[in-house]
Amino acid sequence: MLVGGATVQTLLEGISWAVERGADIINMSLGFTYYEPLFAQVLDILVDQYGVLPVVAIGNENHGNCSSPGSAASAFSVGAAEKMPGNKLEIAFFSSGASLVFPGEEPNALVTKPDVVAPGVQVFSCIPPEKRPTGIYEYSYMDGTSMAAPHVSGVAALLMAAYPEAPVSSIAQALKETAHHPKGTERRPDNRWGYGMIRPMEALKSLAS
Amino acid sequence: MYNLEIMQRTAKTALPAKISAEFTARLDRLQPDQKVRAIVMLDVGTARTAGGRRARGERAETVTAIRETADAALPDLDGMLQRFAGRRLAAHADALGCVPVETTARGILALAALDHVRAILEDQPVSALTSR
Repeated sequence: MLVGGATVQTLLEGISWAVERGADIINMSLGFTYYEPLFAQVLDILVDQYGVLPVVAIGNENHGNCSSPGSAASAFSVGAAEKMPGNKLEIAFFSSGASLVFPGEEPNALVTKPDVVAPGVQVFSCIPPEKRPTGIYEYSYMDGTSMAAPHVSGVAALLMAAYPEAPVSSIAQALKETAHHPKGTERRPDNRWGYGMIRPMEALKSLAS
Repeated sequence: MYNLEIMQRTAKTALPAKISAEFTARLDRLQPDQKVRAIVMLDVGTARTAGGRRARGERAETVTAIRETADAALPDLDGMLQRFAGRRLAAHADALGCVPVETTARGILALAALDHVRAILEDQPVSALTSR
């Protein structure tokens, strides 16, 4: 967790610390001040060298934008969904999403972000409590793709626990393929829902098959 | 030990691959003696797991291998930092092959020209993406 005064250096120190202690998932509920495409190389090392899944918040800058490093092709990027009246599920207005072209073997290949969405509005957060006017320190309900990303990290952790041999690509694929898009599978991925709202039980079943 | 002119020329050609456009623009705006903090990503060789998960012992072996590969480049890094009034901000590379440094804009360009260096990132602020 990064609170106050964090920089890329402190972020990398934290990632390195976690990797050395055996973390299989790095949750990054964060964004940089400006776009840094080369951070993708850090994510590549996590995936390719350590078999670690980097789950990254996509950003709170609305449709048509993406935060860095959530915009990286190798980030498993998460947008925020919101429960509306009548149990209707919508994408939170602030949740970012865009399609980007990265240099690669396939010319003009689009990378569509986010990859999936998860609850990201009025989430009871574990961010350290603040002092209230009453003098009591209390945790808060918070909004943001930073709140959505840990839902995906938590589900990925359960899937990894159930299938310890499954590579990170299979975990990510299971989460994407079993996600629910309200307009149907033929409409995905898009820049609001990505592949859709994660469905943990369906992802678990898909890994079994 | 180093040919500065060649280093600077090489650095310019290395820019698109090793330093992002935004960081390059920010370096251009620095005064000659102004220093910037950055993260040097060192070459750590080819993928060992290709996305597959590994046992704890194998993870530790990978950490050691990456650290040793990256640390082998530190003498070259130090030599270049010394030329540009810079300094290393960590004793060793981390498990990702990264080393924080502080130096001038010219120092950053010179570091980018080193073969062992695969990328240099500015030590920019990071914030949580939340609101109450």
